[in-house]
Amino acid sequence: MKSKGRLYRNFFITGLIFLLIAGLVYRYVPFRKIIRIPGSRELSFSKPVENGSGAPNSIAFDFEVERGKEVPNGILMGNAHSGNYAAKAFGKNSFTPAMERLAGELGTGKLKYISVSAWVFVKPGVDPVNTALVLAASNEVGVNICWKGIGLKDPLVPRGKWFKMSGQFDLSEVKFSNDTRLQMYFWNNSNTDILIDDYYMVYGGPQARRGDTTYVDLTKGPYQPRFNYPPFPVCCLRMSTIGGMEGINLILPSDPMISGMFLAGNGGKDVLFVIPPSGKPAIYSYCSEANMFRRSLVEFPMALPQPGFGKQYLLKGKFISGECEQLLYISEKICMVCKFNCKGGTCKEENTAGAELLWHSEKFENIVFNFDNPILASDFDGDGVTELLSVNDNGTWKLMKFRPDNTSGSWVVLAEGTEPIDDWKFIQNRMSLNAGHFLPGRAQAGVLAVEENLKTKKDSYSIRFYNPGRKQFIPFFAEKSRGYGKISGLDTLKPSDIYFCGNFGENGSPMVMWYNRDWRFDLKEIAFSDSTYHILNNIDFTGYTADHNPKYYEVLKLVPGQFTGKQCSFIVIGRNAKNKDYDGRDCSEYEDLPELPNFISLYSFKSR
Amino acid sequence: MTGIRNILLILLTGCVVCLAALTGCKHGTKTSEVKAEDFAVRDFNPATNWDLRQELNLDYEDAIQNGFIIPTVRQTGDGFFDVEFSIKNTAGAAGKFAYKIYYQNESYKFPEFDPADTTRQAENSWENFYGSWEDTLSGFRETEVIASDNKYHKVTTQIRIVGNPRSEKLYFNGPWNDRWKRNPRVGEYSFMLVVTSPLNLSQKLIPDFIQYINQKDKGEFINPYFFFLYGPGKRLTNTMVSVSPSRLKVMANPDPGAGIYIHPVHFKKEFVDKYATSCCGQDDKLFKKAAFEQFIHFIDASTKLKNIPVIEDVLGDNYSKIDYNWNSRFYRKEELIASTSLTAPEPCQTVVSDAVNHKITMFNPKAEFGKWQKQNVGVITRHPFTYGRWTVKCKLTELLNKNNMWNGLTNAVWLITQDQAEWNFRRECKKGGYMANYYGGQQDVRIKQVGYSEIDFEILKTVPYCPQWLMPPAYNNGLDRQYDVPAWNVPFPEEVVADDDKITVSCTNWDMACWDPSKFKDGCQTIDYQGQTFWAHRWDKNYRAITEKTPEPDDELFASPFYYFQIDWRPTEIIWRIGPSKDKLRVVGYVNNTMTCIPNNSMLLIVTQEFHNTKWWVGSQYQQENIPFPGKNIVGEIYEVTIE
Repeated sequence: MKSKGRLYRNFFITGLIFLLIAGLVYRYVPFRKIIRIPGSRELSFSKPVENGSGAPNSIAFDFEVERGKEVPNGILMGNAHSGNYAAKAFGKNSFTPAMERLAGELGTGKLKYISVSAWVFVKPGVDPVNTALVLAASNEVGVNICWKGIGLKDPLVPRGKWFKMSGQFDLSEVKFSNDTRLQMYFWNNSNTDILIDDYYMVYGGPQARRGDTTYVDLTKGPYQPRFNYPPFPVCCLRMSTIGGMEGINLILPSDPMISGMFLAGNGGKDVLFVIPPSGKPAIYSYCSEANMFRRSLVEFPMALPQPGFGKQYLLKGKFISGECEQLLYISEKICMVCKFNCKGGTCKEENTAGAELLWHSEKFENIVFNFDNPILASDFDGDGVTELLSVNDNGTWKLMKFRPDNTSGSWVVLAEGTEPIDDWKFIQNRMSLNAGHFLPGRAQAGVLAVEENLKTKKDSYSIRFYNPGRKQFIPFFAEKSRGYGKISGLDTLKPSDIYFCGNFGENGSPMVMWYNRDWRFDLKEIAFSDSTYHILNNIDFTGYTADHNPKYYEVLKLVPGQFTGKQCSFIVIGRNAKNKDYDGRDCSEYEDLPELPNFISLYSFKSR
Repeated sequence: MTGIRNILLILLTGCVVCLAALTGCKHGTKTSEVKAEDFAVRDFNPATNWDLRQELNLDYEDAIQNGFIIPTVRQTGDGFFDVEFSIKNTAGAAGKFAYKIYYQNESYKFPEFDPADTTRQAENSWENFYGSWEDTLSGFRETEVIASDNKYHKVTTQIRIVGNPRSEKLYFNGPWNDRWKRNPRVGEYSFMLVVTSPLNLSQKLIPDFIQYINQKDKGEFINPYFFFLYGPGKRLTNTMVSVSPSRLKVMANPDPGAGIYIHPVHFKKEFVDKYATSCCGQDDKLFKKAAFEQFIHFIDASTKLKNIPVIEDVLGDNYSKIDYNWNSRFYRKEELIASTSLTAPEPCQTVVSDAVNHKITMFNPKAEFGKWQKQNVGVITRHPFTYGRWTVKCKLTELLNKNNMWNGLTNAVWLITQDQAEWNFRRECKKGGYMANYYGGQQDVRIKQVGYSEIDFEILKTVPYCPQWLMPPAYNNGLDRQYDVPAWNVPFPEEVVADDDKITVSCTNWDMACWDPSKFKDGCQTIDYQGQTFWAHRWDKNYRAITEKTPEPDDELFASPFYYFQIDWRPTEIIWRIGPSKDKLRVVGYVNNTMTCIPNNSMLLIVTQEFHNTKWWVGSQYQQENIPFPGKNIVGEIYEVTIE
C-alpha cells in the first residue's frame, strides 16, 4: 500500500509538473515565431521571379501563377497589386505562402541587414488589424533562430486599397550558415481578410566605400595639398556642338579605328579611319561648312580580312615625308601601308575615298612583324618622319624606317638593340610600351614602358628616348633610379592603362593624359618631370545631353585627334554591354539603355 | 405731417450716428453705466488718445535695452494711453474712490479659472501676461473728492504696457529691471477698471497681492482678472469691475531692412569690420535699431562628414540621380573631404540687409577647390516674445533641381529659446523632469526645469517616419560594378519616387521629453485638427522632440516669388501653416499639450539655410556626404516677418 501510495503521489506530482510546464510553454513560448510556413525556393506554381530593375542583391516575387498551372491554396486571382494574383491571409492566425531562400544562396556575408517590402490590401471591415510582415530564419534542423516582423496595427490602417509596407531588420546578431533557411511571409493575427502582393527583399546592406583613410580633414586645419595625393582639381572635357556624324550607329567601340592626318587638303585636320563590323572601311572627316562629320567609304586596293578573323592593328605615321600621314595596317594575314585621297573634298555626301597601296607584306622580305610583340610607330629620332619600333619579349628591339622607291617601298633597319633593355622585358612582366610626346617641347617621341612584375605585383615605369648618334634608347630618368621613374602618391601607371599625348589644351597646348578603368572611369592629366610624374587634374565631362555623362558608360572609347582644328579633341564612343557579366575587355554585343543611350560625340577642353 | 416727422427722425438718427462715429466710436466703445452700492461708473475708455481699431506696431527703437513699451512717445504724444472713466457718487456724502487699471494679454493666455472649480485660479493662469501701473509699489489710486451730486465726474489717468510688469526679481540684473527678458506679448490686450471704496483696501478685502501685482499669495501670483471676475473680488461690495469691450491689438514687424547686428561673441575682433557696412556690423546705431543678428549655428563636432570631393551647382547644372549614384559609389575614402558644416568665419559676408527694399538676402557661399565648404547661413531676431503667430514671408532657396535631385540644404524657419538662463526656464515638468541638455544622450539627467525650447519648420528632402509600417523604405544599395550600370544606378523604391518632386516639411516641437502630457507617447501617434489627421513621431520616451512631416511640392514653396511660413505658438497648442499668401495658409502640422509640452519661455525667430547631417533624418534617400559642395552661392531672401 505504501508503495502504491507513493506511486500515486509521484504520478500526481509528475502530472502537476507536466501541467505547469505545459502552462508555462503555452504562456511564454512564441508559437507564432516558430511555426514553419510552407515555402520553397521557387513556389512551384509561380512564374520565374522577376527583378525588373535588375538591381543586385534583391528578390522580388509577385505570386503570379503560370498559365496552365493550378492555382494553389492561398493564392487568389482578381484583386492584385501587380498582375492578376495575390496571396491571401484571411482570418485569425493565417499566413501567406512564404518566399524562401537558403542563406548560402544569398551569401551569408550579406545578411547583416535585410530590407523587405510588400503591398497589402485590407478588406473593409470593423475588426481591428493586427498583422506582421515577417522575416524568419531557421537552422538546418528546423529550429527558428530569428523572427522579425514589421507590425501593421490599427489605428488608421487603410481599408479597401493597396498600400505598401516596408522595413529593415538588423540581423547582425544572427549567426547564419549556408543551410540557414530564410522565409518571408505575412502573418495575420486578426479577424480581417488581407491580400498581399509583390514581396521584395533586399539583402547586403550598404557596400563600404573603397579605401582606407581620408587624408583631407578640414576640422583639423586648412587644406594642405600633398604631391600626387587626392583630391585633385577637376577639368572638364566639353561636348562640342557639332551637328553629328553620318552613320554613327555603324561604329562600335570594338571596331578597329585610328585617327590621323590621312587626307591632303584637309587643313591639317585629322580624320577617323574605322573598320566597322561590315568590313567596309570608312573615313569620317569633319566638314566645317556642315559642322558635322561626313563619312567616306574607303575603296581598298586589296580585300581586308573579314571582321572577327584574327587581330588587326592600325598604326599611323608619316612614313614618307609630306603633308599627310599614312596607315599601317597589320593583321595576321596581311600588312600594308596605304595613303588615302578623298575626291570631292570632305564635305561631299555619299563620298568615297581611295586607298593607294604603298607597300604590303608580300613584298616584304627582311622583317616579319611578330604579332605578339609591341610595335610602335612614332618619330623617335625627331626628323619629322615616322619610324617603327619592334620590341621582342626579351627586351631586344629594332628600329625601322620606310624607304619608298619608284614602284614600292621597303623597311630598312635604322638601329637594332641586341643587348636587352631591362625595362622593356616582358617575359616575366605584364608590360605596355607606349610611344608619344610625353615631354612637351621635344621633337622626339619617347617610349613609356609601364610594367607590373608578376611575381612581386609591383609596378614601375620608365621613359627612353632614342639617341640617333649612339643608336640606343637612353633612359630619361636618372641612373640612380636605374632609369625608372619615381612613384609618388596613391596610384601609379599601369600596363593596362592608356596614355594620350596631344595638343589638348584650350589654346592647343600639349597635354598628357592617363586613362585607367580598373574600377571606374579615371582620366587624369599628368605631367612628367625628370624624376616622376605629377597628377595635375582629374578629367570629367560636361555639356553632354541630359545626364548622360560618358564616364558612366560600361564601354567608353576615347579616340584623340585634331579633328576640327589645331586643338586635339576626343571622339568619345559610349555603349553598354548586353552581357551582364561584361568585365571591361572584349564586348561583342551592346544594349541601348534608356538611361544611358548609345552615343558618339566630340569632346575637347573648351570653356563655355 | 407724418412724413415730415419721419424725415426729421431719420435726420436726427443720422446726426446721432455721425456724432457717435466722430466722438466716442473713434477711440473705442465707452462702457455703459455700472452701479455699485455707493457709486456708478460709466464711459470707461482705456485709450482716448489711440484708435483701438488700429493695430499697434511695436516700436523697436531702444527696445533692445528697455524691452517693448506700449505705447512709446512716437506712438502717442507722451508715451502713455490716456485712460478715462466717469464716476457718480451715490453715497449721499462727498468722498474719494479708489481705482486701478489692469491689463491682460487675451490672445495668448490660459483661462483664469479652473474649469473643474470656477472659484479656483487655473493652474497656469498666473503665467498670463497681465499688469497694471508700471510702478508696482503703487496700488490703487484715489480720485479727487467727488460730490454726491448725482452727476458723473470724469476721472483721467494714464497707463502703458511694459515688460516684466510684475517687476519680478527673476528678470532683474542687479538693480536693473531687464524688462526685455519678459517682453509684452503680441496680440490683443484687454483693460480692466476696478473702482472700489478705500475702506475695502484698508480692510484688505482686496488683498495686497491684488493691489500690488508684484506680491504673491502663499508663494503664487494671483491673476487680478481671476480675482475680480471669478474669484473673491467678484463678490465684494462697493466694488465695480469693468472690462473695456475694445481691445488693443499689438503686433510686431521686425524690419529686415533695419540692419543686421553682429554679436561680438561670434567673431574674432579682427574680422568684424572686414565686410561691415552701415546695414551690417557692430556699431551702437545697429545695436539699437537692428531687428536681426547674423545667426551662427552651433556646430557639433560629431557631425563630421566625409564628403565626396565634388563641387557642383546642383540647382543650376544638370545634376541628376545617376550623378548622385555614381558619385556616392566611385570615390575612394582617400579622395573624400572630412568636414563639418561650417559657419561664416567673417560677419556680414553672407547676410545683407537692404534698407531700400526692406529685405534680408543671405547665401550659402560656394565652394572652391581647396576651400570646400558647406556653410550654413541665417539670421535671428533680437527681440524675444512668448507665444504669437510668427509669420515669415520669404523666398528661400529651391531644394530640388529639375531632376528632383536635392542640393543638401535644409530651409528652416524656427523659434529658439532666447536664453537658457534661469530667468528663461520653462515651467516645471512634474513627471520626472526634462532631459537636461539638448545635446545630451539617452543617459542625460532629468531636471525639473530647463531653458531650452525650440519649435521648427525644417524643410528638406527626406521620408516620413509614420505610419510605422512604412519606415524605412526598402532601399537597394547596389554594388560598385562599373561594368553593370543597373548594379550601381539603382532607382529608389516606388513610394519614394512617388514623392520625387516633393520636399518634406517637418514640424517639430522640442519638449525635452517631459512626460507631463497625458498622451505622451513614443513611436507614431495621430492627432486630429480641423478635419485633418497628423502623424506625430517620437523615437523613444527620452527623445526630446516630437515631429510631424508633410510632403509638399518644392516648386510651390521655393520656386514661387515668395511663400509664407507661420508658426502659431499658443499656450496649449502649436499650429504650423504654410501658403502662397497670408490669407491662403494651410495647416501642415499640429500638436497640443496633451501630447507634448508647449514651451512658455521667451523665444527668438531664426531663418536659415543649413546643411544637416542626414543621419539625423533616418531613412533619407540622399546622404549629405554624397551630395556635392555648392558650386554657386545659394541665395535666400526674407521679405517680411510679423508676430501677432
